[in-house]
Amino acid sequence: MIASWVTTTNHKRIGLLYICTALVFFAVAASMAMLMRSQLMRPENGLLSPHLYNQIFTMHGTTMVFLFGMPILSGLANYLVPLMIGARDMAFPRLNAFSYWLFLFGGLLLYSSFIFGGAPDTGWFSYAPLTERLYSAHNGVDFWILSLVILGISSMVGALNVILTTLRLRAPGMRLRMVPMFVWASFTNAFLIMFAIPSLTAGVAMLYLDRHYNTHFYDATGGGDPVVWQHLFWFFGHPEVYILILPAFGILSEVVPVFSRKPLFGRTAMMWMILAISFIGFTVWAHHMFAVGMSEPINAVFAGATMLIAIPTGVKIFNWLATMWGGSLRFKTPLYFACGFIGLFTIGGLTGVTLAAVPFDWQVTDSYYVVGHFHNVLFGGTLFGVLAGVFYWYPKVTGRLMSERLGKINFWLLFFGFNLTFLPMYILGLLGMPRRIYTFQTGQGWDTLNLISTIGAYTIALGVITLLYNLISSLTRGEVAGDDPWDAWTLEWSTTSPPPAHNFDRLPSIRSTRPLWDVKHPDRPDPPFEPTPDASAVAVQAAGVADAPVPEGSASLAAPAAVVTGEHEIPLESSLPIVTAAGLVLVAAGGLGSPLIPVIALVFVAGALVAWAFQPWHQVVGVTGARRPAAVVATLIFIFSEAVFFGALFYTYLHLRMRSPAWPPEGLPALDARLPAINTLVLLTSGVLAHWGMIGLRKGRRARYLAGTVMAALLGMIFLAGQGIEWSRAGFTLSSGIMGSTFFTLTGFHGAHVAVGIAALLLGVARSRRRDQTAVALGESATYYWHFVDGVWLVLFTLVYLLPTKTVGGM
Amino acid sequence: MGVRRLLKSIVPVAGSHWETPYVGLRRLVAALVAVSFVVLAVAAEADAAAPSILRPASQSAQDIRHLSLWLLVICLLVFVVVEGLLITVIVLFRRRRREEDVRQVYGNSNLEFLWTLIPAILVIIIFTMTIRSMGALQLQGGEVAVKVTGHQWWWEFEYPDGKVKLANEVHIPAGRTVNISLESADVIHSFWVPQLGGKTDMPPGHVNRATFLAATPGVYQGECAEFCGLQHAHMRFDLVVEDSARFSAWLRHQGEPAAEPVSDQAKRGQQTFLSQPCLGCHAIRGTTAAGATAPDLTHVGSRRSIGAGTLPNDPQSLERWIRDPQAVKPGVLMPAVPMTDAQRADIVAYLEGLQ
Repeated sequence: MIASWVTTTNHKRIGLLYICTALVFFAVAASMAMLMRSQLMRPENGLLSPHLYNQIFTMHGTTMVFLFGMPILSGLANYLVPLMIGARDMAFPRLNAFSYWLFLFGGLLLYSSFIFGGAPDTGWFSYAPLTERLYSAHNGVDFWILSLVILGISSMVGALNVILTTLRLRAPGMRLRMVPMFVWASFTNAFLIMFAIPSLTAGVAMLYLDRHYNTHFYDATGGGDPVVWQHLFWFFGHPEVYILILPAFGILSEVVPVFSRKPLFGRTAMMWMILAISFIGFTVWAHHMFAVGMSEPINAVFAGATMLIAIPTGVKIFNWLATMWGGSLRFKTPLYFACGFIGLFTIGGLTGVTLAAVPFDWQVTDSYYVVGHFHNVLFGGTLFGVLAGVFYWYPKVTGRLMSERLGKINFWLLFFGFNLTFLPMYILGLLGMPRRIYTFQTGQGWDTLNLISTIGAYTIALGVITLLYNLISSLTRGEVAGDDPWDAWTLEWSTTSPPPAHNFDRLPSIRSTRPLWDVKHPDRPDPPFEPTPDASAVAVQAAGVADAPVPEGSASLAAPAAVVTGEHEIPLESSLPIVTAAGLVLVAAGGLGSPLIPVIALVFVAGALVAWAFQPWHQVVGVTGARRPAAVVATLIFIFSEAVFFGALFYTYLHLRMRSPAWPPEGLPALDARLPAINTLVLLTSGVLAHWGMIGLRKGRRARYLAGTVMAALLGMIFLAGQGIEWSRAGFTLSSGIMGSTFFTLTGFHGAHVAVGIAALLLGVARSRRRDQTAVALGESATYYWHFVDGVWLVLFTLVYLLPTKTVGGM
Repeated sequence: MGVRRLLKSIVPVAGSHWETPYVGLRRLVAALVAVSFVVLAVAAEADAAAPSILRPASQSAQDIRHLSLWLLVICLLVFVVVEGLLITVIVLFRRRRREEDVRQVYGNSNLEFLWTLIPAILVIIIFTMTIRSMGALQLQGGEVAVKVTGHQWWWEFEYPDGKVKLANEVHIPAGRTVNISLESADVIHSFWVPQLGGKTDMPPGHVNRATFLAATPGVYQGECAEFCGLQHAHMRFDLVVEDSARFSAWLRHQGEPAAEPVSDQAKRGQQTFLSQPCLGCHAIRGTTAAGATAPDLTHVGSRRSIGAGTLPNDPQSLERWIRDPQAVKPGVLMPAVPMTDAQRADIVAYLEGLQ
């Protein structure tokens, strides 16, 4: 029984594992919040020592973001996306399990720091140089770094899965623009994850090197710059806020229409607004840094970009209100939370705009005003949205309804508790109370407001206890729900509660965004997206042709015929995901001490991955035909993500190089470009050969594929040898000032990618003995990745070897 | 019974209202308004004692307050409209009509255009106000320069002649422009005197600047606003604004070497101080103590607080501080130096005499 959960690759089980694990971490992080509020209940309270308080606020933030917020949204997406688009499972069931196990083990790794020398205590933002070894000697920060890398990989793997599932596994007739809003939000969100996380990964990688290999990236005394960390962190950290809120927007857009008995108002605009928020979300990161000393024009640009986000967000709020307007509101708990979301998130949005007003930000940044603001967004927003979703979908998952009575008590406790806790915080910020202080002195006007806030927090705790009790007791005592307790309109409600392992026996035909509405109201169906929905729609959709306009006056349709879902292979169970995840976490844990364990674990992971590649193909076959295998598309998206990683490294290098008074810095030799130039030729040749081979693979000429790819891999090895020779002759080391740090880190990470690329090429060759689609997908993926590695080298070669040197006093 | 009735009146879940929040809604609004008023009343009273950004003591802080109030007005306007609409919708459309009568409306381009335009206009207004405010805050010139260095967990202030150096207390003249240069000796700190203006971060390797024009004489609380480690909570300073004459006198006095001890006890205290590890970290100008890693104590007796705002500066507190700094401010870099009670009393007498 338990074993079948360990080896499961079923998206519903994995979704449940995600949700339950995230709820446990939520309870832990909420308890930490109670400890903090208890400490701050009165001035100069002695409940927590400063060391403990700092660990707790660090772990509260890190947990809520990485171990509750992201995973519970992943869990909901895992469970619901396939059901909502009429699919059998996620696109990559084994990767799905892999991302869950990485999340669990990454979380456990982070929490094990409490046993091994103390948890991280530098804040979830971990500003260097406080995180450098000089100021944080104990290994809490290392636990933080290593588990964040693991959790980042987990999120990215999960995100790729959501993207490919949405792209490839939609039911016949469901165009991309017809997917339910929660799917759309999760889909968009997955791209945010792919492009935001690498910046954090690059940042923590350099922090780790600083801490253990004496590089100087964030060390001002060695030519580094702590502000680099802030840019890298917030380039991740601000999109992260949208990563946490967009799926909640999606949930609202499911719940509000169903409980208003009306379709979502302005659905197309709602989809565009999510895209707009996602794009603008990548251009605002430096608004976290207005006080850091950037120039006025830069501050102004980031202020403007930040304020722009208010526009799409405002449209969303008004569209939800317009959805409710004229409806017949059914006040069940999900709608309570949805209304609470609208009410409270609005405050978070408005205070967010005030924080973009630079001079006001100078006053209130890093004060309790900010604490109030982002809790309005993440508690009033994300959590209320998630709870609306939990109450809404619980009957689908369990077959039973949650108690309405407890649900409403729970809502009011959270709602009042929330306002009582966080309203005073805004005022405390205006009254000059800084964040992250473990105690405060009396006589500053802060005493009563802090007491009120703490009372509010205890009220929230009662609400959370009610919630947890309701979640558990309704499992057995809840009213039996039936398949469709809310009379809803998306596909998940057309199957049983809980759904069978294969999800659907039959799917209704899909012509509009509310397929079940069409079934239930054949007399007045939604306007269809296609004039004549039939099988040819599938082909049109796969080719990505633009949607045809909705025809006028075609409201009357014959009763939709049901179609049977396409052929699926049944996902098998596999122990490889958990084994690989455990190995990878062991590799990471090795970063805390002895290098022997990680080396062994690395060999072990490599073996598991090879076995993985040779296992029977688990991919769920989509019913929508497509040109490229899903794995290749996933690789291409991953390559863009990798590009962000190298972008972060290149930015760091250029920034530090420009700050340096001379380049090469005094005492270091200029780089000799001759050997790297030869290496460039080697790598480019190998790229041509690999591509030539890949085209052979597509045409079924295996000999040509083998010849091209093996030669490409050999040239790759020659490149690595050349790189090794260059390193040994460099005349300086990793710790030789900022030049040593950047040079070895850039060429080192590139070299590691070359090595991975060689391994992928050779794995493709080995796998190609089985002449199946998988072999082609693997070969193509490896080749594209190889091209990427080439491309990075060209940039690296230009920036590192060809930029003019500069001497003191001139360029 | 009274409690139950009270609870019933503010928590609209009791009785038969599970499905119909209409009665509950009025109570809810009433309760929220009541709670808000209580909080605001507390806040209004607290404001008088707090280092509040709403009681500015400089032109910059005044300007920011002006901006803040306008932001508040605009936000309140939007808030009232949105929350008002939400409540209206809840009241008007809670399960009144039969579901079959609900018109299936898919959108309305004109309306959506309207509520794209309105936020856009508000954003343009707020952005313009922001830019104008940023322009107004750029003070020109500067007559007095102060160099501030942030340390874990104390502040070092230096005046340009190089003679005056002190810790955790800084004086500036009223009505004159003061240029402050900010650096850090270790991790990132952030300089914040709420009543004088916004924060300026102090990342190591950067020299940031802040300019103040303080109007009203008084003592203002300064704080470190960037998390800087274990004792971030106890990294504060006093900023004293005084008229020009008093400021000049103060500066002249601070430039003088330390006062010679007068009483026998203070003389013994000086000898003890100079024979103990104290002088490895602390400097007292005019003596052999020339340590540079801890606060300069030349005129420590004249300061308002010790331990960067941790304790008031009086003999009892100083005695407590020296006896066991770790008990007062856990993690502070100053160790407890073993000595007898008498020796400690001597040192306290000596230091308190360093006016």
